[in-house]
Amino acid sequence: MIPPAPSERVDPRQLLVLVFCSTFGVSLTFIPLWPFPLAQSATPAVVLAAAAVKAAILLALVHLATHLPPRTGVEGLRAAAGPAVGTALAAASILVWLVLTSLLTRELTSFVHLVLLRRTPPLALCLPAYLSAALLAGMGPEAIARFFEVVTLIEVVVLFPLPWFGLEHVHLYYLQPFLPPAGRALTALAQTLPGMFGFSVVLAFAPYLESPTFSRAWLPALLGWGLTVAGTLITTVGVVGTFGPATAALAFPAYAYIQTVRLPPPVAFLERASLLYASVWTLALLKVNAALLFSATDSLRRLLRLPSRPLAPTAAVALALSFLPWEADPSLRRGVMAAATGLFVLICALPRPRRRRAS
Amino acid sequence: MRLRAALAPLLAACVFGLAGCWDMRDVEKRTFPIVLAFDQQGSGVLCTVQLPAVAGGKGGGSSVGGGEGGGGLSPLLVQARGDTPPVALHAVQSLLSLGLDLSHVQAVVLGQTLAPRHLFPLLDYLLRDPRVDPNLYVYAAASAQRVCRVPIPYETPSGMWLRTVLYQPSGVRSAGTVLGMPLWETWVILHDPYRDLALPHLAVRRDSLFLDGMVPYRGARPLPALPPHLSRGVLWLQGRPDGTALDVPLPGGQSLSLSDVRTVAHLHVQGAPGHAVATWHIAVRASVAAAPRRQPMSPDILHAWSLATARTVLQEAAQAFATMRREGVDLLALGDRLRAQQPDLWTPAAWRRTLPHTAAHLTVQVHLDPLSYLEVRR
Repeated sequence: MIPPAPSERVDPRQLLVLVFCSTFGVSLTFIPLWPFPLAQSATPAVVLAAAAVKAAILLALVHLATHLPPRTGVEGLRAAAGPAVGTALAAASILVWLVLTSLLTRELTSFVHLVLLRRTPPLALCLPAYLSAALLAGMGPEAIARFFEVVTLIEVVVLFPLPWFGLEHVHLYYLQPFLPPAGRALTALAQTLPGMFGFSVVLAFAPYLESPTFSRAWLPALLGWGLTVAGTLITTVGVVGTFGPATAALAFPAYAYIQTVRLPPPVAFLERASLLYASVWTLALLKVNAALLFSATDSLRRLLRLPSRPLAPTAAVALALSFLPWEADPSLRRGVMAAATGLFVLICALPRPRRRRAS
Repeated sequence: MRLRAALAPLLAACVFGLAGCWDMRDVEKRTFPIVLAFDQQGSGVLCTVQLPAVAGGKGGGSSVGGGEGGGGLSPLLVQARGDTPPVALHAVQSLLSLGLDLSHVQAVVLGQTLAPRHLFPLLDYLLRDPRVDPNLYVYAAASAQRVCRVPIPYETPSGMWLRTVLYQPSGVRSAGTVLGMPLWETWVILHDPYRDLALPHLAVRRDSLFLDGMVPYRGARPLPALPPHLSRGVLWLQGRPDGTALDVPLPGGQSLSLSDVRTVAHLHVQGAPGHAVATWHIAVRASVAAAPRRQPMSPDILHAWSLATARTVLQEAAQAFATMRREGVDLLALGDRLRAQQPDLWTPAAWRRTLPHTAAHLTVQVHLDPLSYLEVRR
């Protein structure tokens, strides 16, 4: 077990902001960016249920992380499943984290290229995004946590209030029936599950907890997380209620919904608030990438017992993976996501030794 | 450490600083059209683009020229033809030495002769262009290119321009600002198999623009334009007139002018395939702006005026519903409401069969506020 340096200890408040928002950032790409399976085959009840399931899993993971011995998921896997199986599972987890990093980078680049900077070559967008994520990952958990704090504050200010102004376009009949048939509800709910693997980064950050017990210091993080969740849910309801059957034809439904927003006076001069939303969204994906890249790098160091985190080769592999055409072949993406979900379930299901209480 | 900490956000911000490079033309090498108009011409489409009005502008050439507008402002028009609307728009671009930037387009006007097959591709094309504001308004007109010839002041924001058009003292004056149909909403309705589209209809009279009713669409096929009173009837049923004016005919050939008309419509629809019943309760509040003769205000007179107003609203709404039922167009999303109640029962085909047999029960409640009238009298 490699103990973290004292300077790398993270305040629990920062860590909570980090893990909550990074994991929620991953799920962001699976709810507002991708609501059309829900809009077509399910109803608002499923959207809410999917969000509730994710929140429950995330809270359970945080609880688990605070009661684990100070070791990462990789070390925990080895301790629980034995050296051979544990190492294989850990290696697979690292690979999936890297794949997720590349997938998100590709999505981020496509979004910025199509929506904001159409004339800019995607590679020119991809490289700064990668460099900044790698830089943050190299600076360690405390720097990432601080970056997360700032971005989360911006997110709360933008992502929470903006969707409210578009609710005037919502048609209630597009949100009905509220409850779908049970079979369709389960299918639609299962479609949201792959996004949950991102939650496992919580386990990668476990040893960096300075004070794992719950305290009042966690409340701002919980509040920020709650507001971001609320903003996302409102956006999802707004998307389905505004576009109805047309939702499935939109490339970025949440962005299209925000484009319909017209701010009231005295801020009516901001004619295209959607650009603000897109910028914050870009930042949110960037921080998720940083967390995933750090998790992969730190886990690799622990897996191979290296003296330092192998950032350059890990980032290079992730960059190379991002050249794979994820969006061109849905089966590739589905396969990776299914494998990710399976791994995630395994990691959660394996027995773990409890933290030894100090006498 | 601090330097590196500052470097990460700078790198992140660097992504947004890349816009001015690459093959994007500088702003002085771009031109910003205000209105796009599309007409059917033979088997092709004629695209007319109005460029910003410039003082003392002079036209020239066969495809690029000044419009008819007066007042010292002459809009520059560019026309080109193509097999489809996007091809025609690209043909316009090819006539200009400047890049065509659609980010300032305030309105798209569709000629009534534009073939139905062009409507959806055109809206889809515009909505997928990230430069185009999805909140711009879409209109219908007998001749779109004629509408395009009316100069639109460049410096006014789109909302103010719309208000200028709507407050012209004629046409559907009482329709208010609610008649604008945003591009994105037009596109959504075309996707919905239960709903039909109604676009505001623009007319040109003496070089000025007027709203002159609305054009309903069955699917993507335009139907004859609804006259002002039927258009207003649709708006009563939608509960949309908000802060507008209305002239109510009174016995003896006189009329009552109402201002600040506000409406709330409660709709309940039920039934089974084959027969449905829609029940409306329309509540109207308005201020009395001008009365037929100056007389002391009394509760009896106010009651009589309220009854006359309710009669007018009821008549217009009932006629509008009868027209919709006869033409088989659902401008009120009745089918979507039925589908929400029983999704397996109400397929689009079942609703289309039921629409001509749908009954309507209307009640109208009017509350008139005499305060403004009394203040004027004093």
